[in-house]
Amino acid sequence: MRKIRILLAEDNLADVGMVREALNAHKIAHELHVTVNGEEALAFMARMGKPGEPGCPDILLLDLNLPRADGLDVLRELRRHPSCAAIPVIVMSSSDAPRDREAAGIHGVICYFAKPMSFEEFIELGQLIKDALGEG
Amino acid sequence: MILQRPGKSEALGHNIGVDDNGMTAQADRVEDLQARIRLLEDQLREARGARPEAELRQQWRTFDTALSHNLDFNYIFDLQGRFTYVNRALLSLWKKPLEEAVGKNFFDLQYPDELAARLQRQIQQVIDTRANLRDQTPYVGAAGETGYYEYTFVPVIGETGKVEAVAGSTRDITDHVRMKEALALSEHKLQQVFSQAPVAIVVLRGPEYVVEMANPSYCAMVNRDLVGQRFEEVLPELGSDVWEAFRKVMETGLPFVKNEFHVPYDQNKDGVPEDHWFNVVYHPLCEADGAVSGLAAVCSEVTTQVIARKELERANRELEEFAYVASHDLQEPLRTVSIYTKLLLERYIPEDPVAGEYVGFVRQAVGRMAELIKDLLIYSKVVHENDTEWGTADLNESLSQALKVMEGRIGEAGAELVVTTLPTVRGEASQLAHVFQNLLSNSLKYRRADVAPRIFISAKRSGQDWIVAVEDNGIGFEPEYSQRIFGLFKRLHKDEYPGTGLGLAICQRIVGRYGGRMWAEGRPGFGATFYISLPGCEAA
Repeated sequence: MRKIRILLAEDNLADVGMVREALNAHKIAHELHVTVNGEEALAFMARMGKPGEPGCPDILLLDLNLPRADGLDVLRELRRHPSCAAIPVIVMSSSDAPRDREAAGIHGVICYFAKPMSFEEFIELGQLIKDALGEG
Repeated sequence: MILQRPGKSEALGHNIGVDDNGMTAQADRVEDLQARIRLLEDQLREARGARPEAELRQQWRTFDTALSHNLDFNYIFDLQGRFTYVNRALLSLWKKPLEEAVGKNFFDLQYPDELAARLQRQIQQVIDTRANLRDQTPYVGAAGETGYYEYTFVPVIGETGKVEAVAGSTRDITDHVRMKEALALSEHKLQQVFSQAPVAIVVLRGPEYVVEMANPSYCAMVNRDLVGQRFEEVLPELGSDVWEAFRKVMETGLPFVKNEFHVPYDQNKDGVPEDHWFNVVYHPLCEADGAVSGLAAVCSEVTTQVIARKELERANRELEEFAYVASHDLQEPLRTVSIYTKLLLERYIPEDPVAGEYVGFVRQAVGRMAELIKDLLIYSKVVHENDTEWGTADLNESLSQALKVMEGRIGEAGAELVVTTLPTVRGEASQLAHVFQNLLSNSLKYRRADVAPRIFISAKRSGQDWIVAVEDNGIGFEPEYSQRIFGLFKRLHKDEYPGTGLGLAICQRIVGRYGGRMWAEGRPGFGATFYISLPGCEAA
């Protein structure tokens, strides 16, 4: 089984850990690239897909509440990307503000994952990733 | 009088002297003299313009009739100030026939000395100066009533240019005087109201808004002189809103009424207009033909109140913002604590009974914290969320939403629910469902151990509002706690019952948001009743 390439934009390392837990729990073979702030995410996207650089990820897991650059800016930039614009995106957020949901909705976000309080619920993220990639 | 004087011709004859020889000649001369005298008398009569008695009497009747049907008093004095003529109006006041009045002066007619002296003096004055005189005097009538007369004396000038008599007329002007007095009094009162009113009043006239009047409150308010000047010159810094309002009043003739009208101007004259707010009424002033010729502006300053309210609103918003952000940001680390404690304890600590107990403590604490934060978020969101226009909420719908959530717990408790038909009110159905859910939850939570819970939900009309009652047969509470239970984090039964102490505070906030009220009655051991009053959906 081919490894799924995942770009994770998340500043909270505890949540990065949980994403790993979820991927492992669902036995998803993966290659995870983590950017811990908005700037880093934008810089990575500027490089990806170009010759000699990492290719397009299979999916973007994006925390909207990023330092240094807003998660929505990252999303906007991705949708303008010459070769990677069409990849599925799961937004992860501790905010359930309708404003964020609406904004994310405009940019074709496949799924809005409100970070849950319990371990078991967080593990469900693995299933969402599988669904997003059509590998149910 | 001179027409027949036989004696005269005799006397004349005697004076001439007669002898027997010249009898005829003398008789002729006498006849001739008599004819000449008659001629002279005719010429004299003609010269004097004297008329026959009948003609004089007719003239007298004409004037007397005319003057007697005059409601005013008319009269004539001779040069000694004695009445020679009095019309019927005055005679009937005196209750005297003309004969008793003629030849008498004011003293003779028992006028009060002072008045009589004054009138006689004034008659003499008219004779001396040949000029008209006009004056007034108060009077006391026969029935003791008081009044005022206005009178005028005019000289009657004869052919030779001498004053022959003085004619007078007197009019009762009591009504006129009283009216003027009443008018002056009411003007005085109005003036007092105008000048002592705590509200500022200014009257503006014409298309240029010239200041006609401004009461002291107004002058003090604008802190400058303004009467007689164009309003624009006095207060050039006034914003366009005021001029627009003036224009509307002048054009439409309708008053302009506005509370908390923002009118910045430079009250302290430091060259920089400050913010001021007024409750204002600009009232049109109309002419008799209906044309609007000006306006009266009545203003009472409410700047202090508006600033205080704005400050309060700002503080409240900040507080809500704070509660929202705080509870939101608290949730983040708590989530990590919650998840990783569990992971850590389950995965890395073996089956240790003490560790198991500690895991329990951590979980409980995290759970409680999560609940508190969740409720705090709900509480702050009730107002934090977009305050868009809300519609109407069918409370039956709200209740069934709440029952759906509470179904399990109601079943578990074996509770009996009685519900009457509920009204439609102003509000949002799902938020009011939250209120029902909370109250049902309370009723179940605070039930009596030995009695099956019974909850009765009903509604009744009260004016424009609906009052919904949720009544239970639970443990109730002491009446003195009926206010406290709505307070933030207030819990009467900390030990025995779980809860955050925010439930009722949230309910009250939701109900308050829709212009309603919430209160409770309780009797320990008998149950509690919670009341929600909400405006009916037809209330504007």
